[in-house]
Amino acid sequence: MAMQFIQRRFKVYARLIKIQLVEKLTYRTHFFMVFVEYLLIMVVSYFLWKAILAHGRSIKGFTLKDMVTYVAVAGVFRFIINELSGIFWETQRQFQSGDLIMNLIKPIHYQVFLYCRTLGGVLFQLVFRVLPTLVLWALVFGLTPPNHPTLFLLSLLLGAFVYAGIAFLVGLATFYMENSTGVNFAIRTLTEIFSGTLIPLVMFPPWLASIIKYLPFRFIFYQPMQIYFGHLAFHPALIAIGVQALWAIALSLAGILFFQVSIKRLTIQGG
Amino acid sequence: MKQVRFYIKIYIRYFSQSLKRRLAYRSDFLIQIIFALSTQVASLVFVLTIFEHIPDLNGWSFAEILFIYGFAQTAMALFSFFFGNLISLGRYYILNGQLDRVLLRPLHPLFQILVERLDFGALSTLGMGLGALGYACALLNLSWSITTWFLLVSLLFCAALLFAGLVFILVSFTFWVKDSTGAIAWPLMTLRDFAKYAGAPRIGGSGSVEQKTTTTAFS
Repeated sequence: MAMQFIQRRFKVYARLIKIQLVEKLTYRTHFFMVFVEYLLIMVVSYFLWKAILAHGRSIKGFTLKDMVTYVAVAGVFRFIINELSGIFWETQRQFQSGDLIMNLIKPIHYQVFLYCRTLGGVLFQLVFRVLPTLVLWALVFGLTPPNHPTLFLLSLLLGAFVYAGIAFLVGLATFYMENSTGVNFAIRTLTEIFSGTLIPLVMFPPWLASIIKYLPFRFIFYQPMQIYFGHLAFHPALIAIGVQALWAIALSLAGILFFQVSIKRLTIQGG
Repeated sequence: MKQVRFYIKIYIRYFSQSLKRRLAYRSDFLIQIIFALSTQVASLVFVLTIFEHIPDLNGWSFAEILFIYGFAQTAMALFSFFFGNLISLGRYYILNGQLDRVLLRPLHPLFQILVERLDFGALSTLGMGLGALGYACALLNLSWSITTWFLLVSLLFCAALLFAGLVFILVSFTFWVKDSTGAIAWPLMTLRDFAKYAGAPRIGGSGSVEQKTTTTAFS
């Protein structure tokens, strides 16, 4: 009985994931132009770092070879971050259009629905953008493999959950502000800077580093990268992943609670 | 001549309408400003941080890079303000059918598209650009004359016009290509972001785009 229930559930989830995949494949100009745009960012970053770290220079232990890899991983991770922002955009769109009500009467929790949908998009990014980019990058500029691949991937997965949690909370802010696009932009910039996708966090001046320490952003990308480069040894890495998991769980729980509170003040005009 | 005067008059009318509309929706205005600022904060943080560690970038000092940043920002603010609506040609005018409305009126369609939505959010970019430019000038101890002032101002407008031309060429493709999100111009917009830092191109060789990193592209 229980088995059957779980099976049925997963069929629903799989369907949601598939729908999103198909939707993604529909818009080809969009797909191509975004691809070009993100590749440009990566290539330009490569040449910039090449100038910064010329003549065997290194900053805080990061050599040019390290940065070539760093830029590549950060670049492809942007595809994922971008996809996860969909959690925010979808919540805002559903709230504003009133479609949300259709999801409230369905026998699936809204957050689970959103996460499944997003997972479809993430799979699309992994297959059609992340993998080709990495292969191309490895052939043209070269890539250093990660130190602890399993730990790194686990940490990156948790990082994605941390960001998904934040994106959902910002999406819920729409319930109070009607339009939280501005908040979303601000959060995206904070993520870009404080998660380390822009620049390795050790390079920041000490006063900024002391602020970053207390924010969840560094768990999104910088901590996985520390594991990637072996800046965190095996045991410290395990502890770090534990802390990261706590943040991921805390943010998801906050999302669930905030959703329960916010849904009470939901007003839908028309729709 | 009469026609030019007529268009100027219409432009002023549109301008005041645009301004009124902007002021009516405060939160929307705020969003535009936050977006304009957030795309720059990341890039400023990047340069400031990098120059904490290195004295110069391929012979370009911090002040020089800042000057280029300020120049690019100011020029791009001019672009966004006067020509920013070009970006929505495919998404809003062609796919939505809004172009029909524009074509029915006895004014040049391109003129209408340009003036229908003036980007007042760009004013914050303009402020930041001018600030950076002024600060860089103070650091560099430049000597100014009427000629250099004239050059600076006209080059700023030339840069904005040049970029508008490039964007116009790209978005014109949306008459053939279905572009539901406006993505067709994004790579160009990203390159624009890179133009702020000329530091690296000297070694790159090909010279045009090898500059900086970051984007807040919200695709």
